[in-house]
Amino acid sequence: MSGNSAHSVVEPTTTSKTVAGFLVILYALITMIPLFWIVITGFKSPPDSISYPPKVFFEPTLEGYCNLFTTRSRQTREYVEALGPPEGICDEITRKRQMVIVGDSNYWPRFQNSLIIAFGSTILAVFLGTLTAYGFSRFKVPLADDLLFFILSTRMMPPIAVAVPIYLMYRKLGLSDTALGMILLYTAVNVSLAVWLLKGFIDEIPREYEEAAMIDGYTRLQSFWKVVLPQATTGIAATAIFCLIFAWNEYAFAVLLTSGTAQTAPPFIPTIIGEGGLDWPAVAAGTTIFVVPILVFTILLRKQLLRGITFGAVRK
Amino acid sequence: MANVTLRGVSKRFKNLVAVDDVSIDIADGEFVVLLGPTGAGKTTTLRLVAGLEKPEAGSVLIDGKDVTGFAPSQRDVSFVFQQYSLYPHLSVRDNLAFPLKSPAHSLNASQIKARVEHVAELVQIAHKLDNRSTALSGGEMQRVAIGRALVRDPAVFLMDEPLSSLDAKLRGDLRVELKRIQKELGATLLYVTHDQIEAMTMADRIGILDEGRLVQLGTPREIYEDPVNVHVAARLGQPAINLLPVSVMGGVSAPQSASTMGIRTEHLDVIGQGTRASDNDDAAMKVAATLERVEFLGDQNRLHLRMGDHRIVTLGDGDIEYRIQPGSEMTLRARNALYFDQNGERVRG
Repeated sequence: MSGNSAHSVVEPTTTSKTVAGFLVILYALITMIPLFWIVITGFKSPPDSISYPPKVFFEPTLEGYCNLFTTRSRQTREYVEALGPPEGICDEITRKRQMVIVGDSNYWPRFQNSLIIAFGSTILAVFLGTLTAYGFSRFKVPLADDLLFFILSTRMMPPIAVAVPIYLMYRKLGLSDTALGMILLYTAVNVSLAVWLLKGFIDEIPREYEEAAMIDGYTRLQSFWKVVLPQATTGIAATAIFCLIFAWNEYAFAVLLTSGTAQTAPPFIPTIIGEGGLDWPAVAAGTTIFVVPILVFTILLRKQLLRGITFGAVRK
Repeated sequence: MANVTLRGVSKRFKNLVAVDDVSIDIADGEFVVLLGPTGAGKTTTLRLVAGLEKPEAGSVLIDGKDVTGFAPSQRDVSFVFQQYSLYPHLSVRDNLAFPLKSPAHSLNASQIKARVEHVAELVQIAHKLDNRSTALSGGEMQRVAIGRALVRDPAVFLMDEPLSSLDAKLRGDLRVELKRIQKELGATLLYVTHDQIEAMTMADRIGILDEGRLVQLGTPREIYEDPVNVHVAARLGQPAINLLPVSVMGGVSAPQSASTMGIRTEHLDVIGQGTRASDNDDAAMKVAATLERVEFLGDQNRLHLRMGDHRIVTLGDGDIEYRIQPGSEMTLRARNALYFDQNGERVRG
């Protein structure tokens, strides 16, 4: 027995807490190995990245990042040596490989597309989802259960099943390969998730708050804005993260429906492989940067995310 | 302040008739308590006045104006909910200021501040104004909830069991306070409770609701002394009225149709055993009973008696337990009996 004088039935013992903590840390480390590998590969030189056995200790270089953001062309040694002093670190690294930078790569525009489309669709899905969920939660909607099931059922089909009709539809409407088209598509997919998640959260907010506000002289919309929304922030944050993760990572629709102007980062990153041989450091660098926004967003909202995941398991 | 009138108001939820043809006239400045068991339609009646429910039939008038089709915000009422319903994301101050900041009011910041602080004094919460509303005790939350209703100057106050979730001591204190505030403001107040003491002590008039119907409306004394049926008679009085078949009592001059008689505990005097001077002038309304047990309450004793197959309760002096032992026989005499027919309706002799 530990030193606790009061024996508790529900409080775990120190030993079991230690064991549990150790297991959690171990699991966290194991799951983070791929992430760790991607981050270090981004700083390897191409030969180091494909060496066997894999190198954990290596000389770090920014070559992967330079290759990610630039396009280069191979030149003769004489040409490269005849050039003036290198401008910046990337220029220097590139010249060592007997190449010169001829322009920017498409990574940054693709990354911007990802930001616009993912955040745009998230905002739209959460906005529509909140209003819809509130409506279903508070009003007598005819056939509410059937409608909710119908909304959910849009989520049941794999993207590939609807890809062809959407492709044809988008071509007719002029939406294919546009940011607007992708925002609408991701919103359509996410809104079902948003409605279901948010309905649960809004159901938990007692009606009395709005009723009190309405009696206090506010209209329903004002009560919604001033009383319901502030209390639904946790749910909205959790929903936003789930929507953002989906839209950010989405690959199947993006690869089918975008090719140029509206292409997002996920379908772009694999194309790096084909450009100048197997340039794994550049791929890893692209992936690392791609992970950052979602990582920051998730860390900022981790408390809400946790509540969103365990939602319904524990009543407040 | 204003008067409130309900005219034949009915409300049903699917198959359940929650409020059934209720008509009440509440005068300006009157304190009316709706009393009844759970599911009697008390809260629904209140919500109908507030506009949170729409009646199927009948109309609601506030200050003589038909407001049946009005939204809650247009009715100029304030409501205290049973579960406080303080806005959890706001401080106490902001909770109190919330009604004043509504579009219905055009007050500037200093006016709002003054009103909030005045009300905070009134409900004795001034020292907690900057607390989060979730960081209060139950009694404090309730005071804030009442304060939020008082901060405006509405046509009518509606309160739904505002004291029910408090402990007995606090409930007693707030009861007195609330009545004082209501008198001071001359407020029209419609109050829902299932606590008869709250009803008796605060109400100008009590309305007894049962299964959605307004069974009786009158002053606490009228309701207590002159109930219209068994249900009302049993609702008020602690301990509850003794209900006995008419035939049990000897020498009763009951009305023809009466089948049940009700005798309040304080109208059942112990005349045997010498607890009271026995006046043997008439033999009517006397009965013999066996004492089963005595409940000591300090200032008085409750005597639980057996009379044939029936159990009855009466009151005795604070020291009666020293003089009578359980099992002893005693003679009782009933006064002021109330008679009811087979359906429980009052029969007046």
